[in-house]
Amino acid sequence: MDTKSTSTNDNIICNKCGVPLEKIRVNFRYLTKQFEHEVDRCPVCGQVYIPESLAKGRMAEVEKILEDK
Amino acid sequence: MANREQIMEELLNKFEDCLQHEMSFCSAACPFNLDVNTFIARLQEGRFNAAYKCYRDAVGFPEIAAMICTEECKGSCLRNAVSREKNADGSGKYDPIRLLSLEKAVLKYAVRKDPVKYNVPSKYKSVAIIGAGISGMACALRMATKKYKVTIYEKTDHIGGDFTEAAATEMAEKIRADFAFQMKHLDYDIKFNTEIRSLDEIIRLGYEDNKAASEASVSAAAAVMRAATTGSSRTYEGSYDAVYIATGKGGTDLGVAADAEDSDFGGPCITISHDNGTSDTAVFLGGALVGSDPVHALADGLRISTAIDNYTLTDILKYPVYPETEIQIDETRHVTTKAILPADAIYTKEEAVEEAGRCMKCQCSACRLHCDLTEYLHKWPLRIRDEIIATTAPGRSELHATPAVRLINSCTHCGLCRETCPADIDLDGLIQSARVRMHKLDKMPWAFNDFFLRDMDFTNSEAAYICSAPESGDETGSRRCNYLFFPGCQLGAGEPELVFKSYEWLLDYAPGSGIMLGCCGVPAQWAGDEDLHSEVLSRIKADWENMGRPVMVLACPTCRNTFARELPEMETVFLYELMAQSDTAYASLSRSLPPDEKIWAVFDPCASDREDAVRGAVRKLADKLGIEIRPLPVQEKWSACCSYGGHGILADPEFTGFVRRNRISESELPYITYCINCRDSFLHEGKKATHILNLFFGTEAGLETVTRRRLNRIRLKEKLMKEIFNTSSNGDSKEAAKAAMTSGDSELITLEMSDEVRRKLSEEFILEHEAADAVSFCEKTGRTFLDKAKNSYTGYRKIGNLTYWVEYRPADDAGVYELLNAYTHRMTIELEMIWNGHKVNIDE
Repeated sequence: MDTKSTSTNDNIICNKCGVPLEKIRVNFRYLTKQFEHEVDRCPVCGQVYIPESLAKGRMAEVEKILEDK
Repeated sequence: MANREQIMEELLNKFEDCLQHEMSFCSAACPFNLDVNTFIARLQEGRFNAAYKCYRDAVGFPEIAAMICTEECKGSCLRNAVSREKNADGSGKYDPIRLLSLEKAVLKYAVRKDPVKYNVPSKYKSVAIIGAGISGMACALRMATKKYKVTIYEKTDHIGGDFTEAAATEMAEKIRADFAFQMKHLDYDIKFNTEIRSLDEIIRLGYEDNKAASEASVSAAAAVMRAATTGSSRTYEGSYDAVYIATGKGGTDLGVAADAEDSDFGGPCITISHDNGTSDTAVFLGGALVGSDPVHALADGLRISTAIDNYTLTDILKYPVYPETEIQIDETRHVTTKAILPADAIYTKEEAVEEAGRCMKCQCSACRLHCDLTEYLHKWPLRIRDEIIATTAPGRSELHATPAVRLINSCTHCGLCRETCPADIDLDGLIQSARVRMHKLDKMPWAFNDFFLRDMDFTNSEAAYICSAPESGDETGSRRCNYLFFPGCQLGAGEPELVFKSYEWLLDYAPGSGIMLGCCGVPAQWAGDEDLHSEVLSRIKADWENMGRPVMVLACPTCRNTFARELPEMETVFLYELMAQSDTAYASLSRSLPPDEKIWAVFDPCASDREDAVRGAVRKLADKLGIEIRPLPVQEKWSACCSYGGHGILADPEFTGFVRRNRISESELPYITYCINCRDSFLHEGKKATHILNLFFGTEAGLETVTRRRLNRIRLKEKLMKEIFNTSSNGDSKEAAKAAMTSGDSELITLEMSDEVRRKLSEEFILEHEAADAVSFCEKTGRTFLDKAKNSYTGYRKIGNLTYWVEYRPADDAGVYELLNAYTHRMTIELEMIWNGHKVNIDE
């Protein structure tokens, strides 16, 4: 996995691996579309962290766009 | 259910009758059909130049038109009609919009008046105009603008004809000046002192004229060039393509009127064919020659030019007609206002803008006056129709636009568009058909209906569904009944006690009555899933027949609508009607109301249209309770939706809020509703509202969370089984109840949360056991994130279609967790299968 940059929230760490998160590409799918986006992710085990601000913000916007497509 | 495709086709065809584009009354009365709505709109914005352009384009010669205008618009102005009605005794003034005064103001204040110089290639068609009066000149103006070759024959030595001869010199000068100004960029030939005495003569002149024009304007080299580039050597051939005879009052018609008498061209026009195979010549009469007054003479000339253009393009000869309008305006817009009078001879700019502001810009907008959705989206039904056609077309591609997905799933299906449409267009029905089609095409985003379909499944599951009646006393043990109470899915969810008490009341009113707790299937209808809806209805029908086809006693107007449409054989009555009829029932109403609950307004649900009996019954009940009812004039007449209809909240929550605020804005008074969804919609917005059954049984109205709404239905069934039917729930329903209140691993832990978090979950349609499932899963897998500052854990689990995120921390007791936050998203995190619940073994 390519490490691009560090997470915006320093307080959040992967509880399993004990490491800070980094912005890493993640695959998403909604309705008939698949796409990639960089979000906070554990650089060791790969688990994805989506804070509420992202879920209610940009993600909801993209969901809306795809629903209207 | 009838063939949905056919229904949709018919619904679409009806849009041909839409009156949106019908002319306003004044535009239709105007000989030029001036687009008054556009003219006024520009003036209202103070755009005098733009208004001038609109006026000039309609009348041809604006200075002349303003001089000779007879203000036919005034008589048709709705403001005038209103005033006339109000002042039948002749006391008041008629106050139509002073359109001519506005036009004169525009002529005064517009500064960019220069006519447009169009760079259009020649048509290689020629027109002769006999008579250089205002009608002939108007025709010449338009024909020359369209690059016809125009030759005007005038028997005198000046233009203007009858009109300038009769007019004062100054006026005649102004008229000539306007001719010259508007035609300054145009090519035309005018032959003065040339009287045409016969059709043969004008045809002969046409040959000569065209021949000369061809020779003069086209050099041999140019003709060769053109032939090389276009493949044709176009030039003027034969005689004139058209002749317009506008010789004025008492002028000669060259015998055309007599020839045209038996024709079916719709007016005085004929065609003359030529032996040499060249195009026929169309001959029209118009202007004062056919009896038109000056303003119509001018308009005739403009219209004839269009008829000539149509003729040369299509070979179809048709005399122009003055069109009529079929516009209809809602009577609520008939409001009088007082005219703004100019302080001087001509309005000041400010006065003109103010007077223009009085204009209602009449346009049929019956549906838009009542429809929340068109108001919210600022879209007209014709556009919505087009967007629906595009959205529901088969196939899927990046280029294929589906602009109406959200619109289709937002409509509340109140039906007011259909009821108010003078052309009987059913936009509501079209949107319902579109829902069905989207479902069939697999284009319906699951997120819009997922929660409500799961809720319906739950209501109709063994956990909450019941259809029973007390055993008859006889030896058959039959549970058949005369009345079967069907409170609908949401009354028992929000107010289980009201269902229980109502059923007790019904048993008292009609002993032996049964009860069916279930959902009428409308969520499936709104999801466009007709098969699922049929399935739900079939079960209701079968159970109803098993009960001996009793009268269904309803509490929800939407259930009533659904049954009336889908199960017409089923007799239904509203519970409130029975309550209002029953004298004995009022014994239970002897409580005294606190002073702040004495005055209410009844909010009639959208599905209660034409349901006069229930409307009356609810008011009678309120009256018996000692409540004073004040009217909601708009809602009583045009019952709009509270926002619940169509389940649009997940497709467009902002629209839902918009609708709710629209409804509660009608009155400061608290609302009595007789649909539980109306009540809850208003309570959500902080509006004081209650259900008529709350008042009847003296209970407080309150909101329940989505989780409690499930639990309430389970407990209601259990209570009925135990206290009315003296049986306990069987194993199946216990299993179903457990399944309905658990999810995955939710039972492994206990989840605690504050009231605030509980409310948030409900607002976001998250069931508490789903959150517990996510916490339990995160704990089991150990896959979480630690927030060092808050000392909390965050993780997610995908349950069904949605991904649920939870933030929590362990409580002191083992297996107990405190939920701090939860949220969902519709997208799926891909390629992380292990962590989203499909696999649990992290080493796999």
